[in-house]
Formats: sequence, structure tokens, C-alpha cells
Amino acid sequence: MAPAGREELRDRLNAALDLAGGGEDDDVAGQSYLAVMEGLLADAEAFGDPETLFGVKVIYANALRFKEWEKEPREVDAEALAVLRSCLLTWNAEPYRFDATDVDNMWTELHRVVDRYVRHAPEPAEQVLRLLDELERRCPPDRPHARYALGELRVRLEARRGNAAEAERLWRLQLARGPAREHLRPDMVAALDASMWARLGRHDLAVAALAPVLAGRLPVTSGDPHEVRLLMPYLHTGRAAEAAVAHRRTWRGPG
Amino acid sequence: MTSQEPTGARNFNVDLRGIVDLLSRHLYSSPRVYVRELLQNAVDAMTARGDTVEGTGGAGAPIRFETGGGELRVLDSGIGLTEPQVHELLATIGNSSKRDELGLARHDFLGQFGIGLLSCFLVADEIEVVTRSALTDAGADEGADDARAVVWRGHADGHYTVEPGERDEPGTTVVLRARRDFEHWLEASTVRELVRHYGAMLPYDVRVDGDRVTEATPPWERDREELLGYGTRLLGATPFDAIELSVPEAGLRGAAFVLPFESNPSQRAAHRVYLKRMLLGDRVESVLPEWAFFVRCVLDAGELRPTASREQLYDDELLAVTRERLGDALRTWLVGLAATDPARMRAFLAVHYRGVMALAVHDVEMLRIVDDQIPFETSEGRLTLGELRARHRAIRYTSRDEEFRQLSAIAAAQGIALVNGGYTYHIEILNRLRRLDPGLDVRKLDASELATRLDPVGPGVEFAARDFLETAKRTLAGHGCEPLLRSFSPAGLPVLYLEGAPGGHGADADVDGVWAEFIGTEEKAERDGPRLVFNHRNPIVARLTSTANVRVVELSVEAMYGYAMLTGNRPLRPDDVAGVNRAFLGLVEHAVREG
Repeated sequence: MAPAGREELRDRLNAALDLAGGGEDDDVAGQSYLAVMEGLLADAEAFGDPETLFGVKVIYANALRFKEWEKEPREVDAEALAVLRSCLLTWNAEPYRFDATDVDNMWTELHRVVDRYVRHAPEPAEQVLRLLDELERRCPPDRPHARYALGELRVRLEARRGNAAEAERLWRLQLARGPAREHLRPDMVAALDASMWARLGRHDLAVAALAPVLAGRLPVTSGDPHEVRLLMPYLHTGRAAEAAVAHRRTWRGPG
Repeated sequence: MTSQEPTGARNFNVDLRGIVDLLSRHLYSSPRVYVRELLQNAVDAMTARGDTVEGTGGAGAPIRFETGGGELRVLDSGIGLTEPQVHELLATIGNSSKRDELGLARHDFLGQFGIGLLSCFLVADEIEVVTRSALTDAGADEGADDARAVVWRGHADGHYTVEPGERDEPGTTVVLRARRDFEHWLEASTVRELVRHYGAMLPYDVRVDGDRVTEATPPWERDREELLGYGTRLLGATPFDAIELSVPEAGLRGAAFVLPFESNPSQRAAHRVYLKRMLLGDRVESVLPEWAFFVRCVLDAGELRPTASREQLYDDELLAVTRERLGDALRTWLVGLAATDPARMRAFLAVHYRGVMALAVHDVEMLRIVDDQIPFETSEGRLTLGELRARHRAIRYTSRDEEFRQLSAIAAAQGIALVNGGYTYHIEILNRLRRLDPGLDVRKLDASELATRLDPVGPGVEFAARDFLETAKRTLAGHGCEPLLRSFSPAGLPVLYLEGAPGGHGADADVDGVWAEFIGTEEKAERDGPRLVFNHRNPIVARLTSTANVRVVELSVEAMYGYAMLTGNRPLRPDDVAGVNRAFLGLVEHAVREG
């Protein structure tokens, strides 16, 4: 077997991404994806080319979501964060050296990991906030989309703390900035925002959050109808007729 | 241009005296270069005459340097200048006769910047040039003004004069009169030495006070024995080998002399470089790749561009290509030597071992040579990595020499291929081995992995030793270390200290600040934390595990912890030292009381 070269590693990386598919968490495909990326990472480290290694590490961090944990998922999140941290420091040191797509992917992956800390992992909010501060410090202002993605995490972190007023202030600031298409699917952000406001009891804001999606101003990327999140907000805001229409449209009977 | 002109553009005002001073005194590193510039002008004049009026006679006459009376006279029978050319070329800074209409430097000339003559102001306040053009002679228009000789006198303060002069034959004579305190630069011995230094390889007959100083054949055109002799004079020692070099794109020929002594890879190698056989410099850098520190070269390049001071090469694309080609030639020599003469390769490696290792970190061919030729310290003795790979598909290494010394025998007994990675470049090379052998598993030895390879003791022994382990755990808690009872070879080793290691890609020791809170190296280190492994195969440990005297067990565990730290050459903290002292004195006291 011949040693891997730069072109071959790139080809294998693209093939691995095909294996990952559309990001569906299918176990078998996911395990293969992870195994391929582990091999690829070892080869890229042996090859020693910094640009190639950077791209491979970022995708390896993505593949880690399929890694099985021993005690708790934060073990895997920590490993992914460690990998992404090394990428981030490398990129900070030589910002023009690396492929623009790889850098975009790095910020997307950072968002993905911190999103898990915000939503699932029982990390203290103050600690996550410090991590967001650190990431923002390392994100230059010429990357508005990455900054938007980090801001979006701040909104939901404040919501998690029950700080509705601060969450609303940050959310309105985000709306003024516009969606970060490079790192986030805008309709999914709107749907998450709607759920967040519904949980906080701000049903008017929940309806407002999803309005651009329902009006067709943002393309829908998910197979699930987002409107289902608005049933309770419609009822709480006295819009029973719209709730009934939304229910009919989104409810599917068995079979 | 007047102020009324709509563009508003202005020309810079130039202080001529300042410019002359700047170019003559600050561009060049030493006054000695004035000889090189005079030589260069004479050679270019000869070349131009050969080009344009070939066969008109006089062009084959020697270039003469004549000294005496505090003067230097340089005479050539070259193309010479007409009066208009004198005004245009000698008196206009930056205007060279050696460029074409588009301002491009003429390929076959040495000079090209139009500033060379200024270097004479380093040693003289006045330059006198008597010149007569060969072109007008060839044109047979004897009556024309152009056919007359011209005397140009330039002064260091920036003014010059031109008047009719006398010269029997076409050509140029430059006369310098030494400035006060600079007389030694124009003395015969100095001029001879400098002309030989810069011009010894020139394909012209150059004489100083009648003695020829140019050599007939440059070293790269001589036979091998003479080439090695030249290398011996250059290096001050017989070269290990001489490698002929050629890069046709750059019009380059030359030789690389392999140093017979070790050189410092971090020190930039400097080489003797000629441009069209005129010496550019003895310490020219960047002509070879950085890794080629084990050779010194003598090169002659026709196409490479010098900087304006003519002391280094201009770093352009052609120089980059040249550097790459020369690197290829050296690599081919090394690979060829490894393949055809292993004994000589070993002799080479004995001298340049470190350099080749440095090279192998970046170059696969060199990695192959290291893999094949250089023995590494392993748990199975001194073996090349190739030999070790043939025996094992998994290789582990330690990052510290002391760690290797401690674990080597244990690894050998467990069948682990362990390499001492504590030397410079070893870890980098080990990590790159997958470039040669993609299926190879190479990793740093993980303490927890080693612990799993040590034989567990049977349940009976484990049960009998439960009190011992409990006491050991309590005693070692202060050191942040866990006891572990295992059975392993060599039996003579009672305890082994295994350091905890953070794992996973991207995990490193310098994770700090908020990152450390998430990445949790501390937590990981706790899980794979340091362990003191007691060897039940060791008779003392075996007896200790069944000792009922808790005090003796405590003191022994403390003493063994200190022993393990000392044998592993690990730094002892004040607490550790206090513990060792306590254990030693306690055991002495116990022995005395029992005795």
C-alpha cells in the first residue's frame, strides 16, 4: 500500500463525507464514517501537511458525534472540543493559510459542540458563557456569520437561565444582524427560537420567530413541519382559528 | 515642468552628492568591492567588443591592473565609449550600457545596474576614465568627433568634466588616485589579492603588474582528483565526497563538497558562488535548500540575478527552481549512496546523523534512509526501525529517556516494541513512519495500556493482599497516586511508577483557561492517573503483601514510592523527599528495635 499524499487524502476526505450523508444519525453508517475518519486522521498526521491535517481534523470532530461514550456524552464532546480548539489556535496563528471551506466547517462544528453544551449537557451556564466569550475573542469581526452563530447560542443560553428579558434583547439584536447561512439552517434557528419562546411563556415572540418561515421568506430544510411548534402559542394569543388550521395541516393520523 | 501644468506632477529633487555617498558607501559591505566593479566593467567591455567588432584586433589583449605611485590604472581593449556615451552612461546614475532599449539586462554581461563605477569613490575622491570607442574605429570615419579619445573625470561631490584625450587604441583606461588614508587599498599586494579573489575564474587573461592571475580551468571543469583538491583547500579538510551539480535552466554548473565533519543544521550554510565566473561571494545563502547543511558548494551561474550590491542572489522564481534542482541532486546522491555503498553510507551517517534525521522529518526519501540505516534504541536492543517493523506491527515509544530506561525491560518481557523517543527528532520520525508503512500502529506508550498488559495476580493473592492494598492506598493518597498489584518480569523490579496521560486527539498539556473546564484533562488524568504498580513476582513485594504490621507496610510503601521515583529519574517534590526520609529512618528504627 502506497503512502497517502495530499490529493489522495483530500479524495478520501470527500469520500468519507459522502459516507456521512446528510448528517442523519444512522448508527451503522455513522460508525463507518467515524472509523474512516480515524484512519484518515492518522494518515494526515503522518503526512504532516498542515492544511490537509486542518481539514481532516475538522471533519473528524464532526464524525466524533457517532463515537460511543463510556460514562456520559460529555466525554465525546470534550474530545471534539479539544480537536476543534487545536484547529482554532492553528487558524488564529495563520489565518490565511487554510482553505476557506475548512474554516467555515470549523466554525459550524464549534457551534454544534457548544449547542450541545447549551441544550443537553449539564454544564453550568456561566462556564458555557465563558467558552462563548473565548470563542468570540478568537473570532475576528470579518466573520459575521460565525459571530451570528455564537450570538444565537448566547440567546438560548440566556433562555436556559430563565433570563427572558436578556434573551429577548439579544434575540432582537440577532434579528437585526440577519441569519448566518454559512453555519446554520435559518429555518431551524427560527424553529428553535419559537420553541424557546414558547417555553419561556413569550407566545407572541414564538409566533414572531417562525413568521418568516411560514411566510416563505426562509426556505424550509427540515422534513418536519415547523408550524407544529406554534399550536400552544396560537391558543395562548387567542388565535384559535389559526391553531386549528395549523393542527389540521401538521397532524398526521396513523397509516 | 511648471506649476501651471494641470497634472500638478513634480520630479523629486536629488542631492547628487548624497546619492553618490549613499551608493558608494552604504550599498557595499566593504571598500574591497571597487576592484570587482572595475574588473566587471573591463570584462563587459571586452565581451561587447567581441560581440560587435569580432576580429578587429585588440579584443584578445589582457585586462591589465597597474599599480604604483599611489595610483591604480586599469586598462582594457574593450568596446570603449564615444563622447555622447560618456555623458549618457558614466554621468547618469542607474543608466547602464549593459541593458537593451527596453531596460532589460543584457544576458552576457556581468553588470546591469549602472552604479558599479561609483564604488571607486569608496577609495578615491576622483575617477579618471580615458576611453576610445572601437565602434567608430570600425566605422572608419576617422574624421568624426566620435573617433577621438575622451577623458571623463568624476568627483565624489557629484560633478564631472569631459575633455578630449589621447589613446592610441580603442578601449578604456580607468585611473584612481588613492584618497588620504586609503592608500593601502591601491597597493600592489592588495590589488593582486583582490583581483585573484574576484576574478580568478574569469575566461580572460587578467594581469596585475604583468603577472597573470586568472586560472585556465575552473574547478567544476577539472577531473575528480583536482576537484577534491580544490574542495580540500575550500574546506580546510578532505571532503567526504564531491558531487557534480548542473542546472541548465539557470546556466549553473558547480560542485558540492560533502563536509567530513559535523555541521550545525540550524546554522545557515553559505556557499561560494560565481556569476559568469566572476565571484559573487564566499558566503552566499539561500542557493541550496535549508536542509542541505552537510555540503559546501562552489557554483557558477549564468542566469541567476544578483542584488544591486552583487553580494547575494535575488530571490526570484529561477532561484527557487535552482534550489529545488540542487536539492534533488543531493537527495539523489544520498539515495544512490544508500543503495550502492552501505558501508560508506554508514560512515556518512556517523558524521551527519543529526542532519539526516532533521531532513527525514520533512522528506520521505530521507525517512526511508533513516528507517533502513539508522539504529534506534529499542526494548529489543539497537535496531533500525525497518528491522523493528519487520518484527512488530505495533510500535510504542516513550517521550523521555528516563522513562525508556525504566520501562524497556518490562516492555521487552511483555512483547511490546518500545522505542526510546527521548532524542531529538525521534518522535517526529516515529510518527511519520506511517508514510512508509500505512498499516503500522505507532503511538506513545500509554501508562494505562502498559498496566493492562501486566499480568493480574490471581484472586487468592488479590484477596490475601487486600489489607496491604488498603494501607498502600492510604499511604499513597498524599502523592496523588493509586496502588496496583500485578505480576511481571523482570522479577528484580519491585515497583513501577506509571504516569497518567491525557488521551485523545487534540488533547495536550497546555490546555488552559475555560478550555480546561470543558476538555477536562484533569478528569482524564484522574481516570488514568499515576499508579504505583507493585510486582508480586518480586520476593520482597510478595512477602510485604502478607505482612500484618501496618506500620512496616506504610514505611515500605513510602520507601518504594521514593525508589520508583528515583529509578525513573523523576523530579522529587519536597513532600516526596520528606516521605523518603521518613520511610528510611522509620525502617532503620524498626530494624534496630527488632534486632
